[in-house]
Parts: sequence; C-alpha cells; structure tokens
Amino acid sequence: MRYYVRTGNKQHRFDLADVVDLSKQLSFELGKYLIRLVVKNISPQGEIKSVYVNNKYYTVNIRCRSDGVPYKVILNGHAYPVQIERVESTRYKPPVISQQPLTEVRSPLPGTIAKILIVRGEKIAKSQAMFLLETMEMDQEILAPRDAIVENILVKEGDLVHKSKALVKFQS
Amino acid sequence: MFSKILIANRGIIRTNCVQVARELGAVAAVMSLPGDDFGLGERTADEIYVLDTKDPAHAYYDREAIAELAVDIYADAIHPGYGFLAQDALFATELRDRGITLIASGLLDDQHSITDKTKVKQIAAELDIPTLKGSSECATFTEVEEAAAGIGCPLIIKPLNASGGLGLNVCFEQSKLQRTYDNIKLRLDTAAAACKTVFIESFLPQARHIELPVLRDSFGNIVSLPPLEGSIQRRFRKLIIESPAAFSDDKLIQQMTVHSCRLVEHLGLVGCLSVEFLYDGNDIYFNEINGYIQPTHLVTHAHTGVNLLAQQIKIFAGEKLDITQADINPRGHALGVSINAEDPENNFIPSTGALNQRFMYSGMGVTVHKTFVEGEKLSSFYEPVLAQLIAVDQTRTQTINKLITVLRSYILEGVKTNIAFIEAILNSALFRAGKMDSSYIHQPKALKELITVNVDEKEEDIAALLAALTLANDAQTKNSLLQSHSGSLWGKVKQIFNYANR
Repeated sequence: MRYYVRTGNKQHRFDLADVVDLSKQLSFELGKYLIRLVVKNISPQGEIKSVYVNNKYYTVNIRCRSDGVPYKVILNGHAYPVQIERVESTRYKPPVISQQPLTEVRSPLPGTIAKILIVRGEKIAKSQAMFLLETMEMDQEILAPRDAIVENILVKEGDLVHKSKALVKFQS
Repeated sequence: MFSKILIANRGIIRTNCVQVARELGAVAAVMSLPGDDFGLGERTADEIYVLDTKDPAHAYYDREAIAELAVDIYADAIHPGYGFLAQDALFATELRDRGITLIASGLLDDQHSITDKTKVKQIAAELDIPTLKGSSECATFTEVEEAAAGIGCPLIIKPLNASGGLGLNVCFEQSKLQRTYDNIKLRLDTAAAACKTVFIESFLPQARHIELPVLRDSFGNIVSLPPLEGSIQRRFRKLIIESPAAFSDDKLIQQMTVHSCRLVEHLGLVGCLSVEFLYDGNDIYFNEINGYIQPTHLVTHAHTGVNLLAQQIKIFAGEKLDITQADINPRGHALGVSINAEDPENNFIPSTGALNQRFMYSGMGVTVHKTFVEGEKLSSFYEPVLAQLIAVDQTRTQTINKLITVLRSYILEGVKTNIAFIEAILNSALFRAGKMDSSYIHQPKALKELITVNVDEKEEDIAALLAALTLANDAQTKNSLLQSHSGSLWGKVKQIFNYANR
C-alpha cells in the first residue's frame, strides 16, 4: 500500500507492506537518509506509544479522528499536525477529508460572555476579536478564525456558556 | 502554633500550605469544590471539606461561608494563600471577632487596609519614597477624565484594590479613555472580587519589576531578602521570576531595600510582605505593597534556603523570628517559571482536559512544585497553572541552561501548555543578557518569534511515518477482523445486543 502524508510544507510517500509487522525493526529510505524505527511500546488498543528511531527514544501520542485517521502526532511533547492525503490500496479506503471552511465558532471554554465586539452583518477580518469571555479569573478574547461575514450571533452579553456552545454563525 | 489551619485556596499554594502546615505540626484542612477531581493538595491534606456551592467560580471569595466553615471545624487560622481573600485584609477584623487568625496582613486600622492603593502611595510619598504620578480614588468617568488630563498618556486604570493583574487596563491615547473606562467598569460590575472604584497612574511601558520580600514579626524584628525580578509578564502576571534580580544596580537595590523596610515598619505590618518597585531605565518608583504570601516565595526559598511560607505562619502564630539578617546567605542564582495549561499559538486560550504527565526530570537544584495528579481533569473556573519549576545553580547562565534542559524533558499530555513558549523566552538573547523589560513579549514581532515552534525536520518525517503506520495498523486490524469473522461477526454482535436488551 502506498501512503501520501503531508506535514508542514512537505509531502512524504511511504510504501508499506500489506501486513506490517510492528514487532520488527522497520527501515525506510527518505530522500538522502534512512529511518530505522523500532516500536518499543504499544497499547492494548494497538496505539503506538513509544519508538526508538535512529538512536533516539521518543514517547509518542497519536491523535486520530473518530474514523481512525490520524491528524496529529506528538513526539516528546512536540505536536506535529499530519494529513493523510491519499492511500493507494485495493483493500482499504480511508474516509474523504472534508475541506469546507468553518461556518461557526464555538466556545473553547465554559465561561461568561462579558462583551460582544461584533454585530450582525459585520464584515470581520481574521484574528479580529469577536467576544470577550470571562473564564478562569481572566478575560479571554475569542478571535475570528478567518475573514467572514457575521450571519447571526447566538449569545447575549452576560450569558453563561458551556464548552462547545456555538457563539456565532458566518455566512457560507 | 495553630492547631488547625483552613487553607482557603487552590492550586500550588494549597499544596505548599498543606505541606508546611503539617511540617509545623498543625492540622491541614482544605476546601474543595463539588465536581473537582481531588488534586495533590486535597490528597495530602488531613481533612477535605467539599463546599456546598452553586457558584463554584466565586466560592473562594465567599467570606461568610469560609468563616463559618472555619468555626464549624474548629480551625484557629485561615490561610488565604494569594489572590482570592488574601487581598481582603478587612476580612481579618471579621475573623478576629470569631477568634480566628487570617494569615495575611494589610490592616492599617479597622476600616483601612493596604489594598487602598492610593492611601499607601500617599504614605510612601510622605516617607520620601518615589512614586508614580497618579490620581486619588475615582468613582465616575468625569473624575477619571479630570485626573487623566493632569497625568497624560500612556496611563493605566486600576481597580482600587487590584491584584493579580485582574481589571488593569492601559490607555495609550486620550481619545480612547472613555472606551477603556467602560471596559474596566463592566469588568468591575461583574468581577468576583468586590471593588467598584478605580484610580489612575501614569504607565511605564518598558518597566522592570523588582520585588523585595520582607519578614517582620510582632516583636519588631525585621529581615529583608534578596530582590526578585519578574519583568517578563503577560497580562500583568509574572511568567519568569528570578532571585536575585538580573537588574544589578547595587545602589538602587540598596535604596529599594531601605525603602521597603521603612515602609513596612511605618505601616506597622507583620508577616511576609512584598514591596514592589518599577524601574524605567533611570529611576525607581514604588508600585505596591502586598501583605500576603507571593507565588514567588518558592524562588526565594531555593535561593536563600529561607522558607517564607513557614516563617509567615510562625509569625502569625505569635512566634519570634528565628533568623536574623546575618542568616540570609543566598547561594547562586534561582529561576522559577509557571507552567500553564494554555495555548500560546491560539491567543493563550486556557486548555482543559485530563492531564497526563509522561516524564519529568528532577535532580539537584531542580524543584517541581505541581498541583495535579495523573489523569486529573482541570477545572475550568480557575487559573490554569499546572506547576512551578524552580532551578538553582551557581551562575545565572548555568541556571538558565539548567531550566531549559529540564523544560525540554518535561512532557505533559492531554492539554496544551506554555512550555515551548517559556523555553523560547529563556533562550532569547535579550533574556540571556538580562536586559528584558515588561514590554518584551508584548511586541508583536518578538511574540511571533517566541510562539513559532521550531520544527525539527527529522521529527516531522518521523511523525509522518508514524501516521502512515497507524493507519496501516488500523486497516490491518479491520481487515483481519472482517476476514476471520466474515459474516458471523455481525451476527454475533447482534446476538449479544439482543440479549442485553431483553
């Protein structure tokens, strides 16, 4: 099977056997150098927890979406976003990754809406402050994730919001 | 010594108070909130009281409930830690009537306390201690406007009893004054800490913050400790503390030490005091005095061996100071940083989740003061400080290197942390040279550089490979399941499901 994985600005291509034996040392040629990888620790659920790569030990944490496709790999506490772009295989098809822009913003934390800084219909720019959320003894600005037009504001000043409560809807 | 101390705080200071109270032979009682996972402070305490409250965000400000609890459990002292009721010196008079000691000082008389910052500034000025240009108490916008005209921008509007950076607002242009005031007013009306009036002061955008801890017992013995520096701040909270200060003008430090002792003696305060000065490149200015234990006490402890928290509790228990100025023999250089659960790449939004600590280096000269236990879920109502890391070594450079090494080996999972951000500040040329001031991490360019994670290309490759392996492994599992149980698997699941639902 052939996997195309994107990290940052790079695209990687890995050819893996149909059945990968994780109990053996694996070698991959990557451009000019060789990655020798030994899986040291694997959880009962089959998640890779630590590896020994080219003479260095890493604790590993791999975050997967609900359909099992990884989107982030954490090596020794440093997070690397990964994107599986394509899998060429006759046996397995990973679900298609949707690329639609965000149409709403949800509260990242529970708290009280102290101030609303946008109005309905307003054209807002990326990183513009939209709400002031009072939480954890602090004021927290909630910023716009992209340029957008405000279609609807779903909260009032003084509202107590839970985590993931939708705060604002953008025009799509 | 007190027989039982009720610790009315959370986080690291609670854990520290429990430890020290027990070292001193007192029973340590702590308060917890319904729904809190029991953290380290609770697990090590002698007694835990879960508060029956519908308002967890304000529970530690609830004077009445806390005083009642102390009476009910026969506690003879309340340790408020820092923040929360520690700023509320007048609470002490209320407790005194019930025979309970508040382990924080600040009372000037029964109606006034040092949280009245304008009054303290006035007293300092009378003692010829330099202060910043400022106003008296303002209750309306008209008063603020008038005072601002006399001071000029940039200026800072502060709640009269501000503490911990809450509600401080800087105004750079006269035209934005109304907006700044409205902002702070709104915050004051809804804030947990009760304070409705403000005062203004001219603002030093590029200041260095020097803090002098002072111990004074009720017999008048006084000891001053080395100056601490906390110039690296975000939202007026100190991120990195060092003892002694990197700021090294001996003459000015000598002056500040003398000023702070005089002020403490003149105000007649006892306990563990902290006097803060600002330095604008030319002169020093008195900023504020606090009568409660500071988060910085751990750094002083590492640097001098003097446990300020223990000394403070002993002083309030009526004991004489058992050290003199001659016993203060600092060694080397100490640095302390706070590890917060927050996301520097995303406007420092606090991060919540179940915490998992994978690895933590410790050894000679490295102290980890943590508050969480493995798998603990973080409460979303309070400041997300996870741990304080303190390092001490012979020189400032060695200590910086040591702290960076420790931070690199520190792996916390489950939440986002500021570890990489702190590491980047420590590693910056400005910090290494000891030339930082409070503006540093607010400059957009500097901030951007500091939060840009250095991508290790080889690690990136490994990450990509692991992603592919994980998917392959997943596909393998699914395929093998489907092959080995083809057809019959779903039948079996259905059978079990039907059985369970009968």
